[in-house]
Amino acid sequence: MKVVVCTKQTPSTTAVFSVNNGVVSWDDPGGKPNVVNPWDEYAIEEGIRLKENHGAADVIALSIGGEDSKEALKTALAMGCTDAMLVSDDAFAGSDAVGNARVWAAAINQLGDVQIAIFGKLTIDDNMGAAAMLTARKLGWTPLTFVSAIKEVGNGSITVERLLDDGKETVTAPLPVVINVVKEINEPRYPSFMGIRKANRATIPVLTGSDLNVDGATGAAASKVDWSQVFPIPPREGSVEMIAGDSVEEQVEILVDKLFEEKVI
Amino acid sequence: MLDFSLTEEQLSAAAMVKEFVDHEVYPTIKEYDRKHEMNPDVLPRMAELGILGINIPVRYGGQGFDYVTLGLVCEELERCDSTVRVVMSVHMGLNSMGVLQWGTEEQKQRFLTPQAKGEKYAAFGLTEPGAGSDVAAMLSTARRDGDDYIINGEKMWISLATKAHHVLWFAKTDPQAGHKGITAFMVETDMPGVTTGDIHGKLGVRAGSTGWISCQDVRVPAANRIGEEGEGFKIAMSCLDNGRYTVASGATGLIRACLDASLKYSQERQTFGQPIATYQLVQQKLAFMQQWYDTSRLLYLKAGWMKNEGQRNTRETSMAKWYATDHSFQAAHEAIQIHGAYGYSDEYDVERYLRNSRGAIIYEGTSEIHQLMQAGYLLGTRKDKPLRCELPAYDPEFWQNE
Amino acid sequence: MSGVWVWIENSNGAMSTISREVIGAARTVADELREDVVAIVLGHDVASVADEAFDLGADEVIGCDDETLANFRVEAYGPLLAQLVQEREPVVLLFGESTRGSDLSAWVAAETDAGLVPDAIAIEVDGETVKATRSVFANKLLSTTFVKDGLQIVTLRSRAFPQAESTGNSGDAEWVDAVVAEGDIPTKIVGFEGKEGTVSLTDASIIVSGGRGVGGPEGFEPIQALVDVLGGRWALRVRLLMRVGFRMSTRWGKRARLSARICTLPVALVGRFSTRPVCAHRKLLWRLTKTRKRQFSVWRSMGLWAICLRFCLH
Repeated sequence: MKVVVCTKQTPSTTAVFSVNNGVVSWDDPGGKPNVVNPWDEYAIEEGIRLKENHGAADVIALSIGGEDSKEALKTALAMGCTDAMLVSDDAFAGSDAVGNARVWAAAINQLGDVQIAIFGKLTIDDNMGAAAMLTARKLGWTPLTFVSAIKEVGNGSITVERLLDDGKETVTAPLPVVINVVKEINEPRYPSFMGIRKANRATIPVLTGSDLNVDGATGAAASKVDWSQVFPIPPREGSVEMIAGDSVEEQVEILVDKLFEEKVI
Repeated sequence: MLDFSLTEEQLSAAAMVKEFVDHEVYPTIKEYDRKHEMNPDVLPRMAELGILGINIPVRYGGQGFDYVTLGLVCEELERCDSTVRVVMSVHMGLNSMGVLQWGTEEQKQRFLTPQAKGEKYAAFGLTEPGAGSDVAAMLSTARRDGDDYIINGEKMWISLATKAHHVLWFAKTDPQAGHKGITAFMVETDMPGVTTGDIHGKLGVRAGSTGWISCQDVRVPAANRIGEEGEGFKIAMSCLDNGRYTVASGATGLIRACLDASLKYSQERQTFGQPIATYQLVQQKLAFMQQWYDTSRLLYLKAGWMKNEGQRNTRETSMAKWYATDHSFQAAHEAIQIHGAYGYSDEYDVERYLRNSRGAIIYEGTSEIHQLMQAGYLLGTRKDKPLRCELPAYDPEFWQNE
Repeated sequence: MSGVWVWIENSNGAMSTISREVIGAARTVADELREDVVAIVLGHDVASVADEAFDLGADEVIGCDDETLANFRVEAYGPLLAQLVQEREPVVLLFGESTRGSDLSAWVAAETDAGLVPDAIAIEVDGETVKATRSVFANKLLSTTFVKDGLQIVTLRSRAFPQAESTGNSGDAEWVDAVVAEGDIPTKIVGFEGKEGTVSLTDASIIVSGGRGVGGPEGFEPIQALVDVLGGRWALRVRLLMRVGFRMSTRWGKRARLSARICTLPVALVGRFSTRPVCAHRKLLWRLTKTRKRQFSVWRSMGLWAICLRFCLH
């Protein structure tokens, strides 16, 4: 069984962002500014567990993006994925979610004989969580979203638990499937020291548009969605007042006075 | 050739350790520090993740990284809390690396492999109630009896005393011969006659385990003798070259912790309507901390590089240890000053940094000892003679192959 | 192209709260675009849901009442809605950003190659375009996102929009047939465990939380007292959630690093709960430091909290 984990290099959650003339930049003083999308760590962990517990022979980390996305793939390799592949082509840059799904689908088809493709719930840069569903549709595979546990895999089918707004649904579907996983599914492991060494020596193959058979339009020109206008969160209006006093009685007196002043009571 | 770059591997390993301490040590460190207890999860997790064998060859159960990585790891550990770095100092620097340097192949298999895998924890038994800097004053004795030695004595201020399985124990086989009569043994703490206990009431490193170990007529097989009879002093000193390296790199991490905390606080805290970071006297403190950090890091990385190259580094390691520990204390002191009264409270981390920084100025050679060493090198009264067994240079092939 | 369509999420014959919010938003959008609000009611035994949609302001209802739609499965709902969209070409298609709304919106976007704007926290109409405000970059920035061309699919975050109010209107729904037979649906639901009895954070109007500053379980007494006060007074209006977090757990492996830092303010905090980052509101903080805590009896606290709360909700 071949499993693909779809990952993306995104800014770190602890990064500090700034917007100048509509251009977003960020840095993380305490660590790396770019990391593997945090939600994808759950996907990577689940992929590795499919290898450890369900006999998946290959767990391939896949990413679409620039050369720097190799860092995300190296994290996946260091955690325990068996292989990695990067799809990198300027023609794909600026695609919207549907355009990206076409590239994911083409890349997954290219790998051949994939039974399970795993996405994280969201990507934290564009805050989009539709990739799994869109990719499933482009592949014609069954989508299983918000997966919080993989219960059984075998005999051409998979049984998963999905964490929905109003409860947990257990559902069985025939393979192949595209799933996206929520953080309740596992605790991602740290990269191992041995894995770090393996990852840093790995040569990650890079595929371009000409290597793939992408069906449909991609890239900025074909994108139907515009989110170029990005701005900082406006400061909250409102005020906070601390009531200080030596005793509770004194504090209450101050409070009551204020409440009268404000005509609350 | 001069190259200051670190490899992707070294940086990734340090980043992994940072992630570990941030997520599994830091959240509860204040609680355990207050309780004067070691978080029981920390040692098993360090073992499981391979940190306890980071720079030991894969063939001996380690992770096969180099000595520079050990320094980077110690820096990350002590950036969180000194107790986790202390583990590396005794388990790795003072014990495991000693076995790597002086042990026979059979001893490496017996002691080093389980230690690097984290199945056994290791400690270093040199200091005694009456013998610290004056090593030759030790009272521990080892008497040959057939194929065994009978060991008697008591060791004090031993990190991991109550946790360790293996203690590198120094005792006099020839009490008349001063430091030339000292011999090293690997004492296993489950041997009959070994008792241990914790020491309470420490100023710092309260979430760590420090204690005493006593041997009463402990029968240790000759196969547990590390090195030759009378080689103990040299072994102890070369172990200290490695232990001090971890202390120096750790103290560098502590300076960074002080700097990070001060940088954050000084930009948040306002007085007279402005963040205190806008005041020049606060800026000066920050600048000094950066200077101490940069200097300490350069010093320890150079020592690490020399270890990798197989060069003797006693002087350089001593300098790094002296400089970094002295300045970690100063950095913590200035960090508290920046934090004002809040820094005096355990609500913030900096008071813990100050308490934790103090011990390292005493152990593994007081600052005064290091000053004497440096002066000795300058005046030519101190020279490093070649050792029978040198710390092996880092050879990636030997380290990484099974 | 015409119509602002709203997918009405429902279960067991009841419309979900989020769909009431989406109808409200759809009304505003439709009025500005001078379009009708068309409610899409899919399910089984959903006549009452269609009636409710009219009552909440829908101009038209297109429904499908079929056994295959009794439980939400995207493979049953998706092709039906995609087909309706392709046949009738609405201008805007709105969903609530629930787990199901998110699935269905993406399915329809994939099938119709339409632009998808998920998780809007505010929307405005600019000419013919619905411009959504949504959080991006780890929720640290906002973006104005819109569909440049063709059908505009937008999903709205729960609790970010006011619910539509009853209009007293009624009408006749148009009922269509399902397009996928049971045998053609690949997924089979083999179990469901509902969340009854648990408290939903997203449904809470007020969240009372205590930080580490209260010290230990005994420090939560005043907060519990507040919860009791609120429960007594607002039982019907306010669903409460009390969140107790003395210290971060130390689990094996990594903790999720997805949300913002856990709040560890040394205060107990009462505030109106809002999912909108841009929301003027009042907060009153009462500092419960360790020394002061001892002076607090439960009864005193209850009284104080009652006053505080009145202040907050005013």
